[in-house]
Amino acid sequence: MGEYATWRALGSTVRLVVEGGDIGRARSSVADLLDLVDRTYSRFRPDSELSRVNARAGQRVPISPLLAWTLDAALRAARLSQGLVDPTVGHAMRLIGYDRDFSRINDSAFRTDAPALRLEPVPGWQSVELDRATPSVRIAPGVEIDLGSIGKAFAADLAASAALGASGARGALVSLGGDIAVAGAAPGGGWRVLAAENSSEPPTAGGEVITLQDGAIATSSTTVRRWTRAGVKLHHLIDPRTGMPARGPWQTATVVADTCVDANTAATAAMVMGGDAPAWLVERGLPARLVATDGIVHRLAGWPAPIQATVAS
Amino acid sequence: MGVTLAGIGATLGFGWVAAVSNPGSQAVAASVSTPTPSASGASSSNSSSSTSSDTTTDTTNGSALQSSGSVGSSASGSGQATSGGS
Repeated sequence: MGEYATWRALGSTVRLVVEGGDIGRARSSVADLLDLVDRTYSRFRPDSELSRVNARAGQRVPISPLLAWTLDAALRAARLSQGLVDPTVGHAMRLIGYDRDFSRINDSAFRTDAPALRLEPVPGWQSVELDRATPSVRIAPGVEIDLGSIGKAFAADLAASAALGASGARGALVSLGGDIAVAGAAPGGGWRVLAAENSSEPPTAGGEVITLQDGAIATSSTTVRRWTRAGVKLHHLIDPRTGMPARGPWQTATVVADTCVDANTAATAAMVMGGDAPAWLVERGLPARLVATDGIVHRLAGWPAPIQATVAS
Repeated sequence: MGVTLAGIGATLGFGWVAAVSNPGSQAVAASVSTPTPSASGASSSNSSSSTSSDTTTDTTNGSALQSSGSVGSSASGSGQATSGGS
């Protein structure tokens, strides 16, 4: 097994694995990149570039290449998911109380200044006008962008390439809170990834392990980032059609795709889509593992059947 | 950070970012742009020659969600990383 490092960034656990390279250089490169990502599009930092864009809704605002790039990825995700993965959920997130880093969210259950919950569609990704030439963006008045899970997945894609380039490794794997991208050559037998409900589960804990030669894998779940507000149980996966947490038959969706952005887009869309998700994933040939709220596991589109580990007698 | 954003962009096929990050590199950016048709039949746009008319309907990677690699299973029961909710 290659060398690895773990640390916290972007409100998530980072796990970096390199095969045959300098782990120190890889870590430094990834840490620098994630720091740049945080300063660019964190929704929880008032000094981030994204916060400044949100504060200037209605105006065209010059933006950095990184923000332009990430917005482009988010808008593509919205289009390919028919709007089920939408970056204009920022205001809806604030309404349900997810207006700070999740580690500080539980106390919001008792806040008296929290806005009332209400059911209304989000503005929609068409209200974002990205001009890649300048680059600049204009969002409609009242719209608040949240790059959320797509931003994290995109950072994983970038980080895997950065780690590979900086370390001279044969291959690199980066996990940001369970969204995983790999770059370069896989180790013998492939990259082994434990599919779990919670990304805090140690990869050596045992369970359903798949192997990847390349690409990425991402998981969307309602079982981890949950809280209660005014007696209502909430989670962070917003259904753009209602502006409220999605209420579908799945508690967890894990998808394999060529990039972490694609995997995350498909996993999130599946969670929001509900009962139509299996057919949608199969039609696109995206290997997926869906866990229903009753615990039954559905493996689709080439997701392999689990192999029981050999137990020594 | 040792690796430039533009360099990563080129690696991942987002050529227009290289062009934006490094004006004058449009020719290089164009060479790394690899648009492909989507499953729905809609074709993606050429990406690198960004113009003032570029909008959300003309995105860099207009291709469909894809998974071209193979996925295997492991009997070892031990992974190198965990994919799960966070």
